[in-house]
Amino acid sequence: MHARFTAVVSLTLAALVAPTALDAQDTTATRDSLARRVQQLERTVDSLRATAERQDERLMELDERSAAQQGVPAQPQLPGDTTRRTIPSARGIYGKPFVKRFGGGTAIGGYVDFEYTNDLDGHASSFDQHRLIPFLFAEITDRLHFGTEIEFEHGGNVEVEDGKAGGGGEINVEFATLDYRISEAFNVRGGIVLSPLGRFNLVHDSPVNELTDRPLLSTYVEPTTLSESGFGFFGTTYPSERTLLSYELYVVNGFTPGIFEVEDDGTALLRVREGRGLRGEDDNFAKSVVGRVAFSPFLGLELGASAHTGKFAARDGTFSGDERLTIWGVDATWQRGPVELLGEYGQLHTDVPATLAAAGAAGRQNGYYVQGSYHFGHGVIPPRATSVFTGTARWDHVDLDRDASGDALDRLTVGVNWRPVPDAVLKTDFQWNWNTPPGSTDRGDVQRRLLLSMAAYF
Amino acid sequence: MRSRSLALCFALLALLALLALVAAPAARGQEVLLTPAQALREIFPDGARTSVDRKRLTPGARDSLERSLGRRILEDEVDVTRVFDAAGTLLGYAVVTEEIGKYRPITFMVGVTPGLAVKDVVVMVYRESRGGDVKRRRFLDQYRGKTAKDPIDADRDIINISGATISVRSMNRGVKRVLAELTLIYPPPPGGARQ
Repeated sequence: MHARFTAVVSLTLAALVAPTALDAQDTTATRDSLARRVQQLERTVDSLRATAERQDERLMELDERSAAQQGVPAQPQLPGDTTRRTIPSARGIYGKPFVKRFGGGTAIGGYVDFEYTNDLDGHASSFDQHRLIPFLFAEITDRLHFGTEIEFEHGGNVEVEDGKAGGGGEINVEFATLDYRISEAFNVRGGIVLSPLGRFNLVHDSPVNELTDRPLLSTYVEPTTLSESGFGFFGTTYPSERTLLSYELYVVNGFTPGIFEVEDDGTALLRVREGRGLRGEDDNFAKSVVGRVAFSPFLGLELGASAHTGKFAARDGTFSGDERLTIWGVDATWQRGPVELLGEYGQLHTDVPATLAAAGAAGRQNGYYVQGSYHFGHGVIPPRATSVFTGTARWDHVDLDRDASGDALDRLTVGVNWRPVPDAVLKTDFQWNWNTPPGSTDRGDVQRRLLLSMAAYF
Repeated sequence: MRSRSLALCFALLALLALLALVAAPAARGQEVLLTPAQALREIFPDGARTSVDRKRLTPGARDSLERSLGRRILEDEVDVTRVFDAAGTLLGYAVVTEEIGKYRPITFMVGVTPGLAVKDVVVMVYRESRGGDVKRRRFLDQYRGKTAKDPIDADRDIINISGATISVRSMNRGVKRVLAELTLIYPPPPGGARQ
């Protein structure tokens, strides 16, 4: 194989050098012929490389089969798990496409999005380089994997002066986990984990979502992106050939008292997004638990249930230290041919200290969204093999204080997007937004927004 | 009270870990699910005799495949196993093929009827640590009856698996390529049904 490869490379080099000698004769026909020959040889080299790679894999497979025939198990156990793999391969950064392998078991990828928003009734518009999110994956051993996503938002323009951060951007480690793989059904994970609270938090990447803006539920009640320092387990099992059961369960630091915001006028608001999980030192002794179970009775339907519960504050002048925040939700997705339906419902309950309750802080919130998508126009626009349009409509609702009237948001979004390839998308969305103020039952005037965006994995 | 709930949490997790460790098989670098002979038996249970045709793809044939599939084809030849029953009747064709999944090749066999529709697809070697749902019957059954004229595309006639999108695409590509190759190698007789 090596001799053949060397010969081909020599021929290629000879063909590349040959035109220099032939230039003296200035024969265009000869140059064209040589160019064709070089192209042919390049193709041969590509083909040989691919063949060599396939043969490597087949040799591994043959080794295993011959081992099986000699009486050792057909599916051999891994060798000791303390050495690096001799054949580097980076498998996993789970659910993320377009990860490029460097060698040495390390891979890189990421996604980027860019948005234009026009608030038609507020007469304001803006371009926003919203997210630039590189991710890295390393297969330290065959069982021990590391994955991380680093989030640069709004241009990542963070300036630190006198120890204080300013600027309009944000830089954030979205997750950074070490996974120890034991089986498909059971794996151990530690680090900054992507909390499995709601379906959307787990599949929030812009290139895979049909609409530009995230659901209101995933902004206010199940705040996406939610990631926290913690430790736990995840896995997938198949109770039968037709069914699938997956789970994730972690013990995490949990939320902070920052879930309550006190305005300049003294009004207190419950905004769990502002008290999202701690990645560094916990602010109290108690830990929270977050988990999700998903069941798929048949291909195309998945039903999920998730919850996050725990005490979130240390004892101080405001909090007793026993206040608990619980968020739970259910979700469902169904797809058949070009049609996809999905929806989520979530609600939260928190104990509210007397001083904050007196200032108007809510203790209960809920929300939901339902979304339908239809894929059409496959190959109408080049590239014909992969191009597709998707039409989507979503209805959003959140009630930010279930114990009082008003304080609710509603949104209707319709959008059409075009994917030249599955991992890149150009979106056009139109929104109608209604804001019901606290204490009111009037939804108020509609606020219309036009959003144009593009997003891609790289 | 605090330490009790924390201890309860960890006890629950430890119990879950123990159950999973007992119930689950050990992890493997790659999973050899079926040998070629086993795969053939699964797709053609009535098969009694086989013969292998090594078909070389001419540059013209490869160009034609590349145009119809919209991507490059690197193979020079295709090994087609023709399967016959005990009476010598052709039951169909089988091709072992590979497509790169997320990082590593997925090896699978595509069984095709004499009329060039997919009889069945079975995964023989799965090397990825995730996306294993593609090797399950609940996914593979979708390919039955597909022909080279079908889109064989996620969100069209194949239901995608969330979290295994790349493996699904790889399987789709492989099945579509095998159907295109077999259609080229064994073109249907003009205006007549194949025996």
